[in-house]
Amino acid sequence: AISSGAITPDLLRSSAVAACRRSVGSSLNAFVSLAEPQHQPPVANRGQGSLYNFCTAGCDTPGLAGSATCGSPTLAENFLPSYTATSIIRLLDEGAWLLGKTNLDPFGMGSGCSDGLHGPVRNPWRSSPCSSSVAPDSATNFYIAGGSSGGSAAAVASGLAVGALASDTGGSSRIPAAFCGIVGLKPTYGRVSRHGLVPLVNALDCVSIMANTVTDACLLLNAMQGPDENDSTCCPERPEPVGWSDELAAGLKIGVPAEFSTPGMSASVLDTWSSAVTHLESDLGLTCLPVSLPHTPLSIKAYSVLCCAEVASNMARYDGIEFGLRVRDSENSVESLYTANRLAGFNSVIRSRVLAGNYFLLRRNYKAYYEQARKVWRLIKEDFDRVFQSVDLLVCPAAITAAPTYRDFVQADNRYRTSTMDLCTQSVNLAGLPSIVLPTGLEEGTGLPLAVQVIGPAMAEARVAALAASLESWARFPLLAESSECSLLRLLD
Amino acid sequence: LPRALLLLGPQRPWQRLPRHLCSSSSSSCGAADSPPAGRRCRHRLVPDAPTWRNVADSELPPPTAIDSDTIALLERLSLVQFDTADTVRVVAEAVRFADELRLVHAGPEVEPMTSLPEAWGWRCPLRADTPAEQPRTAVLSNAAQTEEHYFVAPPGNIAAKDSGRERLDRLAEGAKSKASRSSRS
Repeated sequence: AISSGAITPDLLRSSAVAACRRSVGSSLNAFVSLAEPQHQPPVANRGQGSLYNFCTAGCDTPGLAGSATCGSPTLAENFLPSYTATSIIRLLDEGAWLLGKTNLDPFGMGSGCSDGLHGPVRNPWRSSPCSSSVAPDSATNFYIAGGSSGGSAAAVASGLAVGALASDTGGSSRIPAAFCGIVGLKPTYGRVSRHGLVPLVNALDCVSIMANTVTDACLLLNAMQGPDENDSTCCPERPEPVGWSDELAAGLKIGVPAEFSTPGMSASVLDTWSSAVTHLESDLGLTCLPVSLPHTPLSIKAYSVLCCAEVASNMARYDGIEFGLRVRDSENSVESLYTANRLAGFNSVIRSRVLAGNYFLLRRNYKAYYEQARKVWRLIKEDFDRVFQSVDLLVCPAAITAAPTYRDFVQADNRYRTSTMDLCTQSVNLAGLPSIVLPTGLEEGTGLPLAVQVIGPAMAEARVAALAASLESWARFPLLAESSECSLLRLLD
Repeated sequence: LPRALLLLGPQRPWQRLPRHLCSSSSSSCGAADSPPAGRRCRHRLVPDAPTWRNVADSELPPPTAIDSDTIALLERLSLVQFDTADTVRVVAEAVRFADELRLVHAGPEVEPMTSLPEAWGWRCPLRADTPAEQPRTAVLSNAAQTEEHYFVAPPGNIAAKDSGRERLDRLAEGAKSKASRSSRS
């Protein structure tokens, strides 16, 4: 419709903005704030740039001059970032239209997007389980969107945004992408600048991308990737724009990692994995080999220690003096004021991670836990290095089940959930590798999306995207955004 | 075999559960240990059952309890309160979950990782140490309380109020009873 001139880009944008306005505070709960006019692309760039038709949403953590709560009372007042994240500046420079900020778990901690200041995000795929015994749309009767970047996934899946940013430290963009039936792309660590991304674990955080198609995700990546003088841990050289031809996918050797059949994995996820591998081998004639990442069972434990330790460090800045929540009662010492501010600002999930992190960092525990975790981190990375000497890509699951209901999800605490749900995602963060998650089927009975994950060696995004695109065209997954009423995708055709 | 596993001795802390292996590839399944009736045969490379499990509690080193002294120390270091016994329980479970790492005898030849850029040989340049201008109003703009262009904080040389042994003991006890309840169930 755009190319035929039936709908002008401005009309597209105003419909998108109107739809988002309606959605703030709705039961979907994907957006928490809308972008102000000053955040839109500078006038000179309008009508140009690769992302001209992109209406994107930004996850609440990448800083944008404007409000950012990070889903937590700590920053809900007294915090207006005075600068904009590099990733967002680059999107705006390419002509993308920023719609607003999306919901998330507090400071990105969680796998369900259920704990945040703004409330849980509903999975737009099935807003309520098809059970006649429970009233639809009741307060807890919905499927979760996944976390921590659930709002971004829900926004893209429901067609409110063409693309969205997310952060991925242990799977926080790939789990929601899998649950909501969209594409989630976690780049190689350092490929996209982290300047402006509120840090959770500096060593592992990646600005990640959600979109409905692999092509769109790569368009967003190409706009953002590259060195940044404001982020010293960014890649030193500008990578090639990600693009591919069909030939790139031909002749690839695919590894199937045995350890990714994990405790708690559902039969439907195993079936999905199996059909993808079967297609690659029998239909495309690719060589599929069994591979082993033997330290996989230890990865989630090492991740838990490294994550808590860096969280303890990164959360230390929130003392309420220079910015953020400051309690009104007068406290007579710095220590008691900081403690009071942090008790009011941090929920129990954040506090327990800070305390656990400092436990692991105690002198008496440092060697046994923290140094040990760093050694296992090295072993995990070496497992992947070794495997990529014999294969070009790995194909495996992303989430170990389809999206659970909110009611079931909250039966166990946040720590337990992240220790059981992130089994196929966090080791990829430890190794710093690029990964794309894409939906390939629907679960029998619930009709919820099921996805596969494609993992490549560092900086091999083009190869990962080529295979993901090939799987995407095979799967012909019925995108939710193509069916919903206020869908931008249909307008773009 | 990878270095860490070799050094663990005869008892591997996690065991590979038997994998279902199909004798043929994707179509018919004629193997003796085929999947339960009614289930489609999967690709031979996709294990039908988990290939590992978490180490059982009995195989781990003895748990270290989060006692009152540890609670006091962590609260002082973090300037974060446990607030409820449930938070103590969660932290104790986080530590227990990480205890599996202590079974791994990774020798001195395994160098602890510091960062991926370092492992990849990236330069990670530092900026030149030259001051950048920032308007004072911008720097102060987010502070809840300022006075004459200064941030405001109470005195730093006053120790936090002693939160009381009673409170610490109550937290530690509460967490212990939650833990023993859940291990009995």
